[in-house]
Amino acid sequence: MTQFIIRRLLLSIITLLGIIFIVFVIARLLPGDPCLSALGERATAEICDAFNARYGLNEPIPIQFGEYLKQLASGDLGDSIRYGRPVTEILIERLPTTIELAFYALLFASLLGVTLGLIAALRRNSKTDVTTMFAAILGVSIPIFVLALILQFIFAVLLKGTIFQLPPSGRLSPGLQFDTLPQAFGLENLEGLARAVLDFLSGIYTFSFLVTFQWSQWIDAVQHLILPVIALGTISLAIIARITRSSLLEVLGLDYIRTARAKGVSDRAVLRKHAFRNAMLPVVTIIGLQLGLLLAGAVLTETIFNLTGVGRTMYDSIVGRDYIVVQAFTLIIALIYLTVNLVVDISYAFLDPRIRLK
Amino acid sequence: MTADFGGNKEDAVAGKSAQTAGSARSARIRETARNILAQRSARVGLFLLGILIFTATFAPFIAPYGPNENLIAPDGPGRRAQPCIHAFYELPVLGAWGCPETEPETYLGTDGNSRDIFSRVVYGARISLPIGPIVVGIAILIGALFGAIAGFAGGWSDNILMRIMDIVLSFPALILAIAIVTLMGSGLLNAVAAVVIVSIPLYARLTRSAVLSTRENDYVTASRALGESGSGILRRRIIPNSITPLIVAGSLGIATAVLEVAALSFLGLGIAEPVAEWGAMIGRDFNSIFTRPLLVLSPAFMLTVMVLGFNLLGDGIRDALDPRLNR
Repeated sequence: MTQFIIRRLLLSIITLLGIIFIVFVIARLLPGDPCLSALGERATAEICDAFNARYGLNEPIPIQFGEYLKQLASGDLGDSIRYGRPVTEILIERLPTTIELAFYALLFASLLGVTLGLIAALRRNSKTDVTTMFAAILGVSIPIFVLALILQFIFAVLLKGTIFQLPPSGRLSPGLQFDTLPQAFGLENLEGLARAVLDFLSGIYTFSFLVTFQWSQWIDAVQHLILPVIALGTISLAIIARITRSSLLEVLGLDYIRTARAKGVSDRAVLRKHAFRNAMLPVVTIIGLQLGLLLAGAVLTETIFNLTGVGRTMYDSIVGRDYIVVQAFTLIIALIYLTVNLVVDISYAFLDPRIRLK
Repeated sequence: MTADFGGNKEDAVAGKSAQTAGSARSARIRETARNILAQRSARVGLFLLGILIFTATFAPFIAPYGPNENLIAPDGPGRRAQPCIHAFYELPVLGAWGCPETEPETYLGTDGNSRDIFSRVVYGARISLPIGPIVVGIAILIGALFGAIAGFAGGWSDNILMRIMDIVLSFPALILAIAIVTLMGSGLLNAVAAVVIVSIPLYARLTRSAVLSTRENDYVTASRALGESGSGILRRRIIPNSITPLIVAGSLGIATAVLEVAALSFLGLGIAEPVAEWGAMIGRDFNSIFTRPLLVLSPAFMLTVMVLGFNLLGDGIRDALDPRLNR
């Protein structure tokens, strides 16, 4: 087992280094001049020279890469070219939006998806089953941005004035007063890493408002989250429901289930004790794999619901040639992605001995 | 499981004439087609796609105007106008979408450039429909080549190719596609190329694992002993026997590819104005959802129907071809 983990860890590190290198090269191959993009079309050659010298853009690419690795090793992600601020600051500000969105989307998708898949499998070929599975295939067929627009249209236009009305965009109602965690805890003088962590947690509104008992703000934040979470989570929901159904049907058809039934074990106990856990193995893998889908979907969801999260920032930075932000954000996304894959692989090997023996 | 794309069966009948081999093959194809059509989801999917293919083929006869025809005129409908349907004029309720016969008829209203939305949506089928199959076709060709080389050659080339595939897979596909399009410049061809690139690893991995499991079969060892060249073994023995998982994955991959190209278009990185493409139409006007929902919901509906059609057909093909699912 230890050997398996070490081997997987080494592979992940090699992949990560490859990613850092490729992103670095791609970021520098992007057409367009970062100087003109940051300072505007009228920047003179001298100003651009000074600009390039400041960001080290006049050095040969191999030297730039070496400098970049050195910088990374010291935990510095660099300064954004367009915003002129440290990338870590931007990350602390925007990562919570996406984490909150993706977390609730995954929660919504897993809970509802597993439930629907179970119901469909247990009532195989019934009307409920056929309807659920048609809804599931519709769910994977609706583009995220289409679903988001339909939700906006229903809840912000058609249901306007009713109690079901939901805000069409943003994270909080404009002009809403609230305390951040450092303010609420009287820790405004805190600095360094602890402050960064606290600021980061502050950005996760549904968490920070809850622990500081700001109820009306919490409700406002939740209301703003509902539509984006549904829009982002629906594809994963449909995928999870389909996998749960087919996996449970497969397990229920196995010999040991028949044996258990023959021994007189009740249907409920067969499901709970024998079938469910085995049927969940592929479901766990699929849930782990949803992360990439959610991050990609975040670009679209954040665009339509006007949220400044990682996805939107990534898109803006790629289009606006902000190398430093693109590199840093890609690195973070790849890191999260690789970690999750690693955890899924290891937990899978833990659950299924055949895998770690290979 | 009756569908068999295997090339090895042909060896069994090698003594027969080429003509019988040919008719055996077409009989197999007919059998496979029957199996696929036996699936309800495949029939529904084909029906939906059939409507869209009909729409694309006969677009000039269905659409009252050209896709880029500007209806601006002193008595014309103007920009972002409500639908104007002659039959609804003077009817209660529906009258809101009616207008006198003196005005040009627009079933779904007009867009920001006074173009007929209905006509644009109809012509959009010509652009949007072929994209998915084209993307997947190219991705399978390249992916199968990479996978076959990696699986057949093994060693260094296998390691390098598969590590590259790992790196591509470790990015969320859409974000990588955005980066590639930015690198190459926006436009439909580049958007298609970007989605092809992010789709390759899936097919490469599938082919590699199929090749690895086929390589050790006795009939492969036999042809090697008979002196068949490496490329001959790959082309005539291994690839024909590895093709079923590729067809299954590919038919399901079309929907994903369509969604990714549409997302790029939605973000303004795909096809450029004024071409009528559904993703781009939604992206250009999505802020109008609150005021002129039809402008956004019409292309959105068509896009969803198309993806649904591809998904249902893909499901049907998988159910018909994947032996593990026949229970």
